[in-house]
Amino acid sequence: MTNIKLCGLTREEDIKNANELKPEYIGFVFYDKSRRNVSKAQAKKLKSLLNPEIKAVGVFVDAPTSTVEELYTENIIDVAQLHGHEDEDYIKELMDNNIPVIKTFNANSPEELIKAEKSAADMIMIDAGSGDGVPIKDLKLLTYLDRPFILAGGLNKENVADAIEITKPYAVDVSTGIETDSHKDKNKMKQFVEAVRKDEVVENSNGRFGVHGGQYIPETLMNAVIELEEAYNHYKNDPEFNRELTDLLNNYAGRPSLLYYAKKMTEDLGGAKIYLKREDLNHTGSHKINNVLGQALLAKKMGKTRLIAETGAGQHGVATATAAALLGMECVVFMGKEDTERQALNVYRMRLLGAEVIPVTSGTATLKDAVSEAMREWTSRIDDTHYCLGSVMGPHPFPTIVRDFQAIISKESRSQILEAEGKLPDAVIACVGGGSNAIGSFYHYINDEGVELIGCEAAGRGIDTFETAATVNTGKIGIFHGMKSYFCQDEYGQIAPVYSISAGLDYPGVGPEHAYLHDIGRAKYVPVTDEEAVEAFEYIAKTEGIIAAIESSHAIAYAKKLAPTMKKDQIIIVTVSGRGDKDCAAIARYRGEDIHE
Amino acid sequence: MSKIAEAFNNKKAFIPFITCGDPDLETTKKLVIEMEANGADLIELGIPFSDPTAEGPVIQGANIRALSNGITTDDIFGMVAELRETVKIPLVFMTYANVVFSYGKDRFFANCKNAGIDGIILPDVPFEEKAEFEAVAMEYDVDFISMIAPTSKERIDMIAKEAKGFIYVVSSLGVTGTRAEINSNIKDLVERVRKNTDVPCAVGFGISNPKQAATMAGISDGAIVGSAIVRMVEKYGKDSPKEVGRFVKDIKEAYHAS
Repeated sequence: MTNIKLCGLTREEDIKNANELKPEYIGFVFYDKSRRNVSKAQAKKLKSLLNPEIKAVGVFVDAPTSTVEELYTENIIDVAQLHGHEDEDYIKELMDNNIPVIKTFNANSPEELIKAEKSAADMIMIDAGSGDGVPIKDLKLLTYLDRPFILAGGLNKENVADAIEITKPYAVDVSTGIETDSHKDKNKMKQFVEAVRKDEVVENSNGRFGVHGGQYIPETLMNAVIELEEAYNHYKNDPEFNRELTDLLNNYAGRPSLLYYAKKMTEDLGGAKIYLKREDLNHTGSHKINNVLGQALLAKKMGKTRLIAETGAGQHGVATATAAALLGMECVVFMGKEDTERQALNVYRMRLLGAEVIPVTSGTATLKDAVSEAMREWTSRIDDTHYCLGSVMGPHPFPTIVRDFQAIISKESRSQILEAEGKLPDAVIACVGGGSNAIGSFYHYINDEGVELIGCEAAGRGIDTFETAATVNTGKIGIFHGMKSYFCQDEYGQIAPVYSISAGLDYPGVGPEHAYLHDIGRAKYVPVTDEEAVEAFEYIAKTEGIIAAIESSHAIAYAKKLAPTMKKDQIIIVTVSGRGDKDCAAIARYRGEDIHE
Repeated sequence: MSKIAEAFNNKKAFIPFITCGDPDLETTKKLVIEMEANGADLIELGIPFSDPTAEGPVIQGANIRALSNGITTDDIFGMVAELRETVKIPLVFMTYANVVFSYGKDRFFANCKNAGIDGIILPDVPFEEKAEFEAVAMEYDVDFISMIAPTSKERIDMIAKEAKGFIYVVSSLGVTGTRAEINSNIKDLVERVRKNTDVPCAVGFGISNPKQAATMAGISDGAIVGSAIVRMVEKYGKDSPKEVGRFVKDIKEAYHAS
């Protein structure tokens, strides 16, 4: 959904019209050189008439911060928009006082856009016009922007739909385009709003990635996923939501995570330079927290008080229990009975965090059955409950939501590697179960054609055996757990029991976006056996002093094979999706040693 | 008039559900014949699926028992063709999207037509995804049955407008299985459907006894009973046709009494 800001309102009738049209934002200009300038008293009166669901944005040009702060404190404005030469310190000062900030930049050069991308402001506005009412220029440049933005400059009811289509902005801003004879024109306002809103019907694609994805779920759940999609579309670019989420990610989960140069491993393997993206260092010990904090915050905004989740290895369950504890929500985790036994420590952690853990005995009593049981629970209790799905799977919008929250992995690693090496990596490697850390690790490189994307599937005892979980390598297309994708199944479509030493990769399907990346050849998916993964688990511990999760060890195992075949000036980034403390007992058992915790 | 519509013609329909191959296909055949003889108006035949996400423990169990007997979709087509030599009432398959998708939609619905199947219920295929299945089903005169739930709200209008055969009204939140009472306001759901279509409504999920069935049929066009019957099949095994036949008869009597 594209938001709307109607700017430069000055009269009471303008407010009345805005209340009817319900844009997300309106703007008051506090700049005495503008013909739309309003005084504080005038703005106060207008704000008192404004529907409280519409946010008032104060537009400033190099005003003293105290002026802005005063208007905000007195509730005359909800957001500050800066149009002058305000620097980062100025922006940060306002933000430290909790004032949401929009900073405006011109779209006239790539340098300016890079500045915009790096701005600390909650939201950026890109002025694509060249003055009052002059039609916008070539907008394609804006498609390179790597953050949400508000599009402004020369928009009107005729060109706004195209502008949205090309640039996909968070919001559109209009002022001159809705005026006649220097006053806001009710009809033009209405036509503009209609032109923006009309465009939105096209957006609903039911989450297809090529032929994959979709929403194959019982009718009982349809309104729940539609409500979730609407809420997500509303909040995903909302500056306040993102500020809260960023605060949680940085100050609670410990982001950004390190991109660590594995020097000893690089030297030992004698080929490409290996960097490790250290998601194991996040709070709760894996990448799962990235998604969970996003979804829990979203659920809370939606008024939900209870989170349910499935878990395989227990990492997602622990992350969900953690977020629930932090945000004061109830939490129930479904976990295959077999997994509760091989990951007993994580079961205890979840209970310690206040969650209820329900061992699932149906089917194969592993991750797939935990997902089925969580879906069944969701159909019976929707009103107060959000299903916090842990991977890029399930019905739309989950694959998109989870991917967006995990994409921070590649967003960080891409700028970290550019800083460290001045160039992009040659390959990015991650393990794939449902595929959330992998899609997060790949996402910001998908358009970088020179970067090879490699997902490592759990081959178990080998892809030529029945004891495998390598879905892309051994499965075929099907429909299960709400999505169309690749699944391990028999000739009659019965879902096959899968096997891997790793409880987190022990799943018969794969996220629909991975299925699509496989179909179009953009990513490749390679099988890694239990034995290879266990060797890598031991290797990375001894070589780099890092105990990586057995899931992540699948990715490390492939890096070990690939690096020696590459040149020394080439670079590999391997995502260490989680830490391996939880796996020590199982690996010891695999090696014939029984340790009692 | 489609064969399914005939089942509702001037009467309240009773629709029992059983899982094919539980405990074996011979018993399934006997169950169908017995249920027809005792007044079932339409029968839902479940094709077992490994991971039936819309089912409660009772029908999940039936699916597992049938699959561990090695029952396949092809075996079931064969059984239906044999039943059709004598059975006259409409028969509807109830299974999951992947069973149909992996078999090949065209081959699946062609076989439905040849065997004498009149409709298909896929609980994991909502309105938004039905086109890929319904288009093929229609070619072979198989009605794609739509479901509505207590959470459907405004969605009822669009679903009802395109409904064929009958509308499966899900009585309550959650999965299949017997419930002591049904709290949803079925009347409102049915009324909203009525504003959009004349296609009959049958209520299912949670109906466990003749009295409940008669009540539900009273406020709609029919009642569907699954778990209560499957539980009898589980309990009595090969001897279940007689017990189930008596149960169906009791339900039909309760219909007439109310």
